Amino acid sequence: MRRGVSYALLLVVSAWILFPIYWIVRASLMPLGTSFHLPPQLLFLPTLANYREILTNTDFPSYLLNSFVVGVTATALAVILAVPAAYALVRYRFTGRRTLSLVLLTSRMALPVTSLVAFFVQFNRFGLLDTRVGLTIAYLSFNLPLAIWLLIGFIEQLSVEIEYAAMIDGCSRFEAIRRITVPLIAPGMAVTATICLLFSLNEFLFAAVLTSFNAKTATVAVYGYLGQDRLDWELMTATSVLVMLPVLLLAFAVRRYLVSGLTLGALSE
Amino acid sequence: MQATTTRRPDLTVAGARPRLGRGADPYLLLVPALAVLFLVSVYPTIYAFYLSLTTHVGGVNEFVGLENYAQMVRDPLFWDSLRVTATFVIGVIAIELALGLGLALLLNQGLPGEWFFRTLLVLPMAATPIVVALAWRIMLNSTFGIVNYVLGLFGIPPQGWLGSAQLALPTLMLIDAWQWTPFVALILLAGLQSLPRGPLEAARLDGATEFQVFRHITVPLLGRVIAIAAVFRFVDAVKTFDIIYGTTGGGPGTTTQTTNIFSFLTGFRWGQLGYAAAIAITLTFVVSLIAARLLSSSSD
Repeated sequence: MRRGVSYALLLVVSAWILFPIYWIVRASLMPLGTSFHLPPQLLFLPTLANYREILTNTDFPSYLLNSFVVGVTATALAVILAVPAAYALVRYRFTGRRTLSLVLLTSRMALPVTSLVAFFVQFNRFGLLDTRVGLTIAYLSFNLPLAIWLLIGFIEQLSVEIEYAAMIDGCSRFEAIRRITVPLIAPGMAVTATICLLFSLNEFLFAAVLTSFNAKTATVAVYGYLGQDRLDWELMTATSVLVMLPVLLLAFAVRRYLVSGLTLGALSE
Repeated sequence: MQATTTRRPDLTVAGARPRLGRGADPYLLLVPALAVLFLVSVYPTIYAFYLSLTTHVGGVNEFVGLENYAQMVRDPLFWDSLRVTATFVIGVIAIELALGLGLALLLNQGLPGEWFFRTLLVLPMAATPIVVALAWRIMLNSTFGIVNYVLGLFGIPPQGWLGSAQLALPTLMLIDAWQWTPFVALILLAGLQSLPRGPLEAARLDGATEFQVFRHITVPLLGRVIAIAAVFRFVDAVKTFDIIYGTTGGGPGTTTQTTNIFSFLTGFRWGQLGYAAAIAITLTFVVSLIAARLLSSSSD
C-alpha cells in the first residue's frame, strides 16, 4: 500500500519533469503549423522536416559550431591549466594557499555582470568582441575555477604513497606527476571536462553580450528566434532540441558527479 | 608498486618526506593557472570596480568617485529590484527545500527501480536554461498554450501567466522549481544516505513514531546538508538570468526585474556600464556576506 503511494508520487514527479522536454521534442517533430492546434493532436506522423530546414536553410549550424568550438577550447584549456594547480593545492601547504581558495570561491559567488562589463570594455578595445577567441577567454573565467575545484576532489582520493613509490624508483616529482598521477586521475579529468563543456554549451549571458554574428552561439540564436514571435514553434523547438540534446547526453554520462560539480565538490563522495 | 617502506626514501636534500610548503615546486605548478586566473577573473573584477567609479561622457570615462553608488542608493528602481530579488530567492528556496526534502525521502526507501527516477532528476538541472525558458513560454502561452487548455477543461479561465503583473513572478518561481528542485533533492538524498543508523533505530526502539523520528532526529542531523543546499540555491537564485530574460525580460513593468536583470539592463541596454558595475559589485558583496554567514551558522 505504502509502496503503491510512493510509486504513484514518483510517477507524478516523473511526468512533471519530463513533460516540458517531451512537449518541445513533440513540437519539433510535427508538420509545420500544427503544433499549437488545440485540442492537441494525440496522433500525428512525426517528421524530421523541421530539422532539415534548420540545418540546411538557416545559419544555425554555424552557431552550433561556434558553441562547440568555444566550449571545447575553453574546456581543454581549463583542464590542462587546472591539473597542476589542483595538484599543488592538494599536495603542498604554501603561502597564499588560502587566498587562492578564496579567489576560487568568490568567482562562484560573483554576479556575472561584474566581469561582463570589464570583458565588454576590454574586448571592445582589443577587437575581441564577436570573436571566438574573446568568448573562449570569457568562458575560462568560470571553467578554470570549476575545473580546479573538481580536480582537487579527484586528486584528494589518490594516495600520495604511490607517488613516493615512483620517486624511490628514481622519478623526479614532476615525472611522478606526469607518469603516475595524471594517468590515475584521467577518469576524473574526463568527468571534469564533461561538466565544463556542459556548462559552456548551456551558457547564454556572456555569449549574448560578447557576440553578435560571427561568434554567435546556439543559445543566443535560440533566444533570437524566441524574440521573433512569428517564427514557427516547430522550427524554434527543433533548434532548441539540437542545443539541448548533446547537453543532456553529457549530463547522463556524468550524472553521479553533476551535483558535486554544481556545489564545487562540497558534497563529492 | 607495493613498496611498503618503514623509512622514507631520501627524496630531498633534507631527507624524510618531500617537503610540503617549501621550495618553488607548488608555485611552478601554479603559475600557468594563476596567470590565466588573474587575466580572466581577478583583473576583470578590479577593472569592474574601477569602472564603477567612472561615468561615460562623450566617449571618455570620467572619474566620479562613489557617485554611482550614491545614485544606486537613491534609485527607486534599485530598491524595487532588491525587493523582487528577495521575494524570488526566498520563494524558490522555500519551495525547493520543501519539495526536495519530500522527494529525497521518497527516494530513500530502497524501492526497486529507484535508480531510474534518480537518473531522471539529472535532466532538469542540466537542461539548457534558455531552452527551458522557451519550453515554458510555449506551454504557458495564453492563447495556444497547453496549460491554459488543460485548465480550461476544468472550467478555469485562461491566465496570463508570464504577462500578468500578479502571476509573472510566481510563475518564474515555478519554472525555477522545475529546474532546481531535483538538485536540492539529490543533495538531501546524499545526506539522508550518510546518516548514522544508530540514533534512528534507538528512537524507533523507544517507540517514537515515524514522524517523531523525522522531526526530532532526521531533520536536525540533516541540518548541515540542508544548509549547503540552501546556500548554493541562494547564490544561484540571485544570479538567475536566462529563465527570466528568456520569458518576461523583467516585465511586465518591473515586476520580475531582479537586481541581476536590472544591472544587466542598466549596463547593456541603457549603456551605463559604470552604474551597472556598481550595482553588480554591491550585490556580489552582499551575496558573499550572506552566504558566508549561512555556512558558518550551519557548521556550529
